[in-house]
Amino acid sequence: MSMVRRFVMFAGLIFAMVSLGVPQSARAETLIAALSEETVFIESNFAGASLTLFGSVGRDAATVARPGSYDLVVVVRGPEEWPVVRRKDRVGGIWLNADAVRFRSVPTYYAVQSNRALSLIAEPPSLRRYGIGLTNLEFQPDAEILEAERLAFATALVRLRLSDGLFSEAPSGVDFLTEHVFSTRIDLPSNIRTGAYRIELYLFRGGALLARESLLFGVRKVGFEAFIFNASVNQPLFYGAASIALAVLLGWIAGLMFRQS
Amino acid sequence: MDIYLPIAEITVNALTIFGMGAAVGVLAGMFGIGGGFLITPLLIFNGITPAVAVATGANQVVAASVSGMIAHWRRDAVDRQLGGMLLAGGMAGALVGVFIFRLLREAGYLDAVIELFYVVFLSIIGSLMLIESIKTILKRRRGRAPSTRRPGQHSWADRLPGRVRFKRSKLYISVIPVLALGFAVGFLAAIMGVGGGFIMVPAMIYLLRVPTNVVIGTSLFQIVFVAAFTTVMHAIANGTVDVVLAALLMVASVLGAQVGVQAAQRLKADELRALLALLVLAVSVRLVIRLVSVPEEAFSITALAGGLVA
Repeated sequence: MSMVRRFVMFAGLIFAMVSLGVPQSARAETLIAALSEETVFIESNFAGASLTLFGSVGRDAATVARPGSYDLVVVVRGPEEWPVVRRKDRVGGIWLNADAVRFRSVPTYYAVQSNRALSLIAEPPSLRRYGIGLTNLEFQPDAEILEAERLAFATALVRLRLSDGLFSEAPSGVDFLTEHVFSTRIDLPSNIRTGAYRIELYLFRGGALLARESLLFGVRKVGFEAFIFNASVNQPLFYGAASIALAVLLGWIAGLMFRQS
Repeated sequence: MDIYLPIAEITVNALTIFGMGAAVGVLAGMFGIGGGFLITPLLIFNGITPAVAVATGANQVVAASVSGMIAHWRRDAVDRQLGGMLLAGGMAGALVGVFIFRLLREAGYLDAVIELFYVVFLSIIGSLMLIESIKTILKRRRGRAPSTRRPGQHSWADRLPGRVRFKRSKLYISVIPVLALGFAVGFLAAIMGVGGGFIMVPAMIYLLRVPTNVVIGTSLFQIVFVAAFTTVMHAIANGTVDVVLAALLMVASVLGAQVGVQAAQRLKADELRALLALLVLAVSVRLVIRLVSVPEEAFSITALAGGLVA
């Protein structure tokens, strides 16, 4: 689908939502947003995916007029895991994993998009409260360690995830098409985990949070890939036996071909 | 042509993997080897995690060895009694190997241990093959027929208790070295994803003094079943067998093997063996460099679930 068609579709959707009168508390802005796809399917040719988010800032007559323009921050979080970060050290001439830190509940995917630098949008305390921005994420180890160590391992975690493409921060990732209508693109690399993804939208103006909204989307393996993966997890014995059967069959066919030649 | 591997959970170029499998298959066909000890390190160099590379390698070994085993079985060149006893030892070894594999993985030492095992074994095999082939080349240049060594009449294995008569091999030997050899090969199969023919065949000839006409068949018999058992155990204990990756490698390597067999008939074996030895040593050196050079990134992330070792 072309970008233009997508836009038309979403603009129509948003217009419909606005004109039908989405319930909103008086005197405040509301956020309305829609996503191009509700589910991302991982198939055999999966090389990452890109979702488009369109939305609009809803106002009614009672909304207080405030100076300045809107700022929008979009935070996408993937399913959580408890990752172990290891650090290699030289042991007898070779580099081996030595120290390790396990962190609690870290999102497997974390992307922050905004229309300008986060530091210009809000003060650090409010960014920290909502976990907006990689520097404002809290990484808690599951055991007591020195703060310097925690910081070193947490920094490494972020650095590695940034290079994997699983963490990202785009200070100009959100476009305001008009004063009220915005769009952003969510890029998912091919190494993403399956599960539920949550998109949080935060509308700021002059450093104050005016409204928030959240959306969900899922990442699923489908077809053959899903079948293989599920079989390996749920039926490992059967999966292993089937792998052997395939190997025996291929080897046997090769044997027949050998004898003929 | 990119393909998503459901267990390794990464997208790879199918042609690269296929080409690699085919190249190893050609070598395997030329030299009558399984090729597991080349496939696993090549997968690691291509970004597949060692845990998935090893378990998938074990699966590939089944395909590479099964047709040979069937051929030897038909010719009655398999000592089933000896093979069965080697297999019993092999399954025990594989069981212990898979268990240790899991412990090492949880402790974060698995990658380094797998690479170390490869360095040790590839250096030894590569050096022995290189020396052997250079000797043969030199002898041929001097115009002498290469002599084949004959196994000695007695070995230390004879003095061990628990002797059993193996009818097909016409042997009366202790079961201890047989079980120990099976165990060692099974252990390596689980840790390295190899068949272990490179240890099994010389050990059967020189240690157990099995007649040469049943050595290859019996060794293949043990390898097929131990590799199959290892694959299932890895699938259950570690969830690291990627059947899509394995299928690509298996098709490529069995096709490559045919080319290899044809090519071997037209080429000089000694010089080829010297080249293979150099290749094996090169892979070993590459692994040593990986292990000893200062890593670009000292940190790594592990999330223990299925094949998700990043």
